Amino acid sequence: MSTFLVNAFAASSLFSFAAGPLGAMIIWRRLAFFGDTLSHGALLGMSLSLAFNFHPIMGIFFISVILAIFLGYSSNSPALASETRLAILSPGLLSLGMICFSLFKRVRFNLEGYLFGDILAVNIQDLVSLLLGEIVVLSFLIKQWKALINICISEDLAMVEGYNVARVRIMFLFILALFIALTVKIMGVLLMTALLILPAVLARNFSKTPERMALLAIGVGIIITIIGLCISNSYDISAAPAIVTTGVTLIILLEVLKCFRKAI
Amino acid sequence: MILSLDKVFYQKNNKIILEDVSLTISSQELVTIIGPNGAGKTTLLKIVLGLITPTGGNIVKSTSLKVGYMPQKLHVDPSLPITVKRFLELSRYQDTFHQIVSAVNINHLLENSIHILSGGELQRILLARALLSKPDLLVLDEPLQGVDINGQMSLYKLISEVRQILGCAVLLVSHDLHFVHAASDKVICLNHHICCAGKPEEVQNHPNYQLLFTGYRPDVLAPYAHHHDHHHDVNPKREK
Repeated sequence: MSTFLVNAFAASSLFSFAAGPLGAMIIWRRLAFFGDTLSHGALLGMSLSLAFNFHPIMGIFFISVILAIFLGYSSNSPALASETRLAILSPGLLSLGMICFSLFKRVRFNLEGYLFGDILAVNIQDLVSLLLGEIVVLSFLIKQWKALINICISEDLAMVEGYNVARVRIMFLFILALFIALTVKIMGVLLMTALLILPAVLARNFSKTPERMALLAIGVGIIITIIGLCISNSYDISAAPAIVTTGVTLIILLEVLKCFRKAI
Repeated sequence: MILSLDKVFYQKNNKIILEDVSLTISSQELVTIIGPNGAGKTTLLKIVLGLITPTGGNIVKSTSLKVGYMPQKLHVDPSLPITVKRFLELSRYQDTFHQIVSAVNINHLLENSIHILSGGELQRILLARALLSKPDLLVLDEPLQGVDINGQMSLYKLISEVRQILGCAVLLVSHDLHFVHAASDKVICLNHHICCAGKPEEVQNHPNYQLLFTGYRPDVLAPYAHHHDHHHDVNPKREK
C-alpha cells in the first residue's frame, strides 16, 4: 500500500474517533445546521488565510470561533427561529468564501479539494496536528461528558444541580470549531456535517444509552470511512462523497430492513 | 426560615410577570402556590431556583441550602437513547440511589427507555432525580400534570412520605384552583402578585365542601377557597 493511502486511512480513522461522539452530540443538541454554518465559514477562513498568508487552520479556527461566540450568545433572539438565521448565514458564508477564493486564488489551489477535501494529500505534519487536536477534543468530551448529556436532557436540571451550563455549552462550540478547522483539509467544507452525524445516526438504531451510541458511532465511522476510501481509491473519486454515499446507503438499507421486519 | 423572597419583581419584554412577591419558606414546611395559567408560577419557581434573576427585590437563602427540582415536563430528544437508570445516574449525587429508587417504587422501570414511560411513571422518575441530592427544599412544578386522578392521589401521598423521610421543605406549584395538597402549611394564590394566602384547613369545614367533593379522599386532597382581600378590575390594569 502506498504512503498516501496509509496516511489517508490513518487520517480518516482519527477523524472517526472524535466524529462519533461529536456527531452524536450534534444530533442530540440539534446543531446540524450550526455545524453546516461552521464548516461553510471554514471556506471563508481558508480564503482569508490564503490572502493574508497565514496557516489555513488559523484562519478557519479564527472564523469558527467568531461564529461560535456570535451564535452561542445570540441563540435566544425571538425575532427569527435559529434555524432560519442559520439557513441565511450558512449559504451567506459559503458564497462569501467562494468570492474571496476567486479573488485571492493562486494557481496551485484547486477548489474541489477545499469543497470535498483531499484526503490523499494528507502528510505527516497534518497527521500530527490531527492527533494533537484529537487528544484535546476527546479529553474535553470525556471530562465534560456527564455535564454535556445533562445539558442535552435539561439545561434547567443541570443548572440546579450546579453544572456551569453556559460555560460547557460555549466550550462545546469551541471544540466543534477546533475539530472542523483541523479536518476541513481532509474532508472538505460541503459534506462535513454529514460525515459527522452519519455514524451517530446509524449507531442510534443499536443503542439504549448515550455512551453506547457515541462509542458505536466511532466503530461505525471507522467502517464507513474505510469502505468509502476503498471505493474512492478504486474509482478515482473524492473520498468525502464516497464516504457519505456509503453511510447514506447503509441508513437506507437499514430502514428498508426495518420495514420488512415490521411487515413480517 | 430557609428561603425568603422580599418584594420580588420580574419584568420581561416590558411585561410585568411578577410584582411585589414576598414569601418565606421555613424548614420542613409545605408551601403550595396556585394560580391560573400564565400567572407567573413557573417564573417564581425559577427565581427561587436561581435559574433567572429577578429585576427587582431580594432573595435570601441559607448558604448551605440544597435544592431538588422536579421540572414541569421533560422533553428528551428521541435521538438521545437513555434508560431510566442512566438518567438517574446522571445526577451528581449517587449515595442514596437504591433507597430512593425503592422509596419511589421505580425498581421495575430502571432498564426501560425514558421515551416510552407514561406520564405518571415519568413524574416518579423526575421526583427520584430531585430527591437524589437529599434536598433541604424540594421544588415541584406541577407534579400532577399528565397524571390521572388515581396517579395524582398516589403521587401526593408519595410526596408526603418522602417529605417525612427526608425532612425537607416542599414548594409545590399547581394550576388546579380547587384542590391542594392537604398537608399544605401555606397556600399562596398567585396571579402576577400574591392575591391571597392562608391555610387549607381554614376552608375544609366549609358547608359546600362535603357536597362538592365527596368521593375524593380529604386526607390527600383538600379544597382551597380563596379569601380575596381586594377586588380586581375588569381591566387587566390593577387599581392601587
